[in-house]
Amino acid sequence: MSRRALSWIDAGIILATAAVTGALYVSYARPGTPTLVVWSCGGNYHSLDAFSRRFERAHDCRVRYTAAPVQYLLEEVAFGGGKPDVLVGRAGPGWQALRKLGKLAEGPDFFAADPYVIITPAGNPAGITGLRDLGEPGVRVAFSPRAMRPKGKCPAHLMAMVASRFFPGLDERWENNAVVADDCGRGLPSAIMRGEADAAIVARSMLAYPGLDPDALEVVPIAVEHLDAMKVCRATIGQCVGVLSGAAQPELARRYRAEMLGEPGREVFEQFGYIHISSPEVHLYDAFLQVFTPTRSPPWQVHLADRLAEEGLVREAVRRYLKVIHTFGPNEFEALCRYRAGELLAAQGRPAAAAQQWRRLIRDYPRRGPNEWGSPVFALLSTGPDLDLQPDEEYVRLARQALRRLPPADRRRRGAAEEPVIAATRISAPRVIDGDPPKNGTRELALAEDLFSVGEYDYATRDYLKVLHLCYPSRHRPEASLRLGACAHLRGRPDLARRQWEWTVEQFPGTDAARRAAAALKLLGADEPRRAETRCPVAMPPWTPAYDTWAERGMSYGMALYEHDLPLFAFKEMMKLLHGVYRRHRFGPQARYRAGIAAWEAGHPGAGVLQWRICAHRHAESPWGERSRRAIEAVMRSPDLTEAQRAQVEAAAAGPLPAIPARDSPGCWQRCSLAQEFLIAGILDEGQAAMEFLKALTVTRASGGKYDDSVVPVAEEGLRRAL
Amino acid sequence: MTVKRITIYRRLSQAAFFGVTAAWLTIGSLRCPFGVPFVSCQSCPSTDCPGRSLQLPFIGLAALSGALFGRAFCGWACPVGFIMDVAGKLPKLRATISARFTAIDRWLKPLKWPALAAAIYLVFALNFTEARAFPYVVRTSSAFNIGAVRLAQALGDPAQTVRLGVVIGALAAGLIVSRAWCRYLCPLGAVLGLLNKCSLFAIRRDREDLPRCETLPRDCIMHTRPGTTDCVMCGECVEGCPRGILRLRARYAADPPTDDGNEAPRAARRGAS
Ligand code: SF4
Ligand code: SF4
Ligand code: SF4
Repeated sequence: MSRRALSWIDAGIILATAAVTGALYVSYARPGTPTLVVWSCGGNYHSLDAFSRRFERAHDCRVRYTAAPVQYLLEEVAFGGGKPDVLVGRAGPGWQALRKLGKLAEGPDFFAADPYVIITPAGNPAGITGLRDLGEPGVRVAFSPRAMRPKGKCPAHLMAMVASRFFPGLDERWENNAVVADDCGRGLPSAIMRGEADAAIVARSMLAYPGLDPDALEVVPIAVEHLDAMKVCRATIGQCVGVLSGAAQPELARRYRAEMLGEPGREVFEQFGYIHISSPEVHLYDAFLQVFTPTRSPPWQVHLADRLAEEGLVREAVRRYLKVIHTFGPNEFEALCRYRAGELLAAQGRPAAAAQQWRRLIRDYPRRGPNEWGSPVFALLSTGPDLDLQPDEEYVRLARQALRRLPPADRRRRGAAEEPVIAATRISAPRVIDGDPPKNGTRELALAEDLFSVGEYDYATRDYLKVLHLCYPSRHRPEASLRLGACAHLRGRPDLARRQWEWTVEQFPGTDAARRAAAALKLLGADEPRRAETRCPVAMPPWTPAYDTWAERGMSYGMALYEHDLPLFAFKEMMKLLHGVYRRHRFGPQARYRAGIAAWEAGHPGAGVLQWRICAHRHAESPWGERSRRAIEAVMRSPDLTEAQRAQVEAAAAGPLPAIPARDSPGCWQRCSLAQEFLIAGILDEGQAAMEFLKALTVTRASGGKYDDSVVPVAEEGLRRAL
Repeated sequence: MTVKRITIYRRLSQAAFFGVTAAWLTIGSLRCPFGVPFVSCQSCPSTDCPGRSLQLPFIGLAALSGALFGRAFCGWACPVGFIMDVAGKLPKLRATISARFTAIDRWLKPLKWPALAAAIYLVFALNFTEARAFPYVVRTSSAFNIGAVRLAQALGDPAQTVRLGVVIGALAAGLIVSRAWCRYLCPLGAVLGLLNKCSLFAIRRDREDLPRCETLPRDCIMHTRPGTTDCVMCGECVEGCPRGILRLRARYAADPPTDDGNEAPRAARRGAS
């Protein structure tokens, strides 16, 4: 064949390929046909794609349909150049932003509910009946903590809320039972189908994903009262549709929306696992079918930290800034918090600790990748305090500048200054992710490690103890226990360190923490006896740690603080118990009695006697009332009191009993009342009273719309006195 | 480039592979939620992308063809290679530059090794870290939905736009230098190129004792010679060899005996040099 002929054939093949591609494009774009642009949340993809194809056939039009995470879509419509005709997605604050900006011609209307359910392999081999069973020993759970909000953070939030209201520790047990951690969450049903796990929490619509065999899965509904916990988080259960103002195809868009809400929508969406708005079953979920913006905690926490810093409560302010990062992170305030924590530490004359904070800031920020908090939607809807928040880059720049101002010796990473016994206990601190349940052991451990790293060993002890007691049975307990020993050692209490490490070896055999504790024990020097002068003549009654109720956890934590020689914080825990922070319980009288001993040992013998007087008066019939009476007699008779102690005890034993604030909710009153207890007891140490008043004025506002404004003047007055 | 019979076979093969993989190409390279596309398909949430079903066969084919024929995948199957070949046919610009290009080309070709190293780094830094570079997915049921690409750019990490820029830049460069992307940057091409050194079959002279050509094959799309890591085993030089001494031969087979046990092969006897 001639060269020329071959050239023509070659060109022909290329042109034919181009022509087929072009023809396919034309069949997709159908020039001249009206085109409706629909955007939806990724989770709606399969159902909406099917609905759109059906709509195209019924109305001889073209639907250009694209799906992506709805918060980004909402943001793109609200503030970017996005101009779809119809927007579909789960309920979230972005819808309110659209409404506020006048960008919605119709809606948002709820077209379906998509509640969370538990899925198990066919036959439900582990016998799962509800959320509680996901924490039972031996149950293998699949979850997706790193997935986006509806598949990552929401199930974790649900478990944490259910743990907080119904089954303490359930979130930790659930995490401990996890054997499959799927990256994006879409793989959970397949993992269950393959029998890799016994159960997973998924949105009901996920069961209709292509490629799943419905006969291989079983669905266990989640009790609505358990789902109810979700109301304080984003309502991810309701699914909305809205028609955008300025839609290029307004008539088609209106029809699209109307059909989603009507019979065609019902046919398609029920086939894809949703509960359509026209179904009677949807009323079970009525409470979730509303668009609302929950008050976010992080801005209020930063505000609290700022206030603490302003009032000179530096240690608590540093802890609060670090808490914003670990307990409430990830969020947009992290760089700010690191920077300000560094500033406070530097002002306290601790340049090395400040430098450590700034170096971490420079290392970890700015954060990469899109995030929902960066959304201007939040700024538009913000009901939080006014915070002067700069972009991460600005804090990095400031941190670099601040580091340069430090003497070179402090600027650098600290060398081999750590004692061998401490080095033996070093662990790698976890970095929290969005999918970590709120206030879980991972978060507390990360916070404790950060406090440890800036030399706040007392405060770190508090948070390590939280891992052990409030977060029971966190998988981080061995590490927390190991590090508690290190804290004790650095606080000058090798006796406590020895006890803690021995306990670690005994409780967590076979773990790395136990091995390191054994190594640390070998390196430990001689014990020093505890200072005797603050000892209360009345011994603290023993307490066996228990974790079935929040009150038991609170008591276990409080007593552990006491054993770790932090009586002030033990006192505070007793006050929390007395004012409802740990919910309803029967520990009132003994909490008051124990508070007396803790107050004494915190250096306030008069406050101790006062607690016993209150206990004896209020709980005269209880054995604790009787014990309180005997305690007062014992201390009055005690020959070991110093002059000052005796004077305080005698003053407290005489005179009328002060009025004690009633146990109350909501949270703002709980905080206010327990702070008032500090005032009544005359305990102003470490700014704990002031801090609790400040909490009543700030962070408790983010508690699901239950803030009572009448607390403000009371707390303001208390704060003035506490300072 | 002169079109030969082998060009037609190759083009048919390329067009067929393009048909199978074109949708994946657009979706994968333009709005893949992972920093480096085509790598993490098996754990990808993007169920609308054909990558999940194509990736393993694609890797299998590249590996098998690599073991057998070195970088032949690039010459015969890769859809990007096809696009680059087509782009290379278009302008006059290319001819004017390529005449003076040999020296620069020689300097630029080793760029593919740092590019490979960078790609390996990026895969680990972007795809397998806790925070994947673009942790969202833009879904659509059509590879022609340009709106989805636009949305991916609008919503995503700036790196997403950098990636799009690289794709467009590579295509544009292909208009000037034949197969620019394949020559200088493609990591897969670099890996397959290594197999040119050990594949079972290779393009070789009829006998090793025949003299090597000092000039590069005239029509080589990669501006190289057989056996190098740049050769895409397109076979154009086999058909185009003026001495007719190039063959696809088993690499480790002994040279064939000559007709009389001594003489050089036929083509050499014709005295071409
Ligand atoms: S399947 Fe996923 S990872 Fe693979 S190319 Fe497509 S979008 Fe990218
Ligand atoms: S070098 Fe890369 S792009 Fe070019 S043909 Fe080979 S695999 Fe395809
Ligand atoms: S050397 Fe030959 S086979 Fe290799 S790319 Fe060039 S023309 Fe093709």
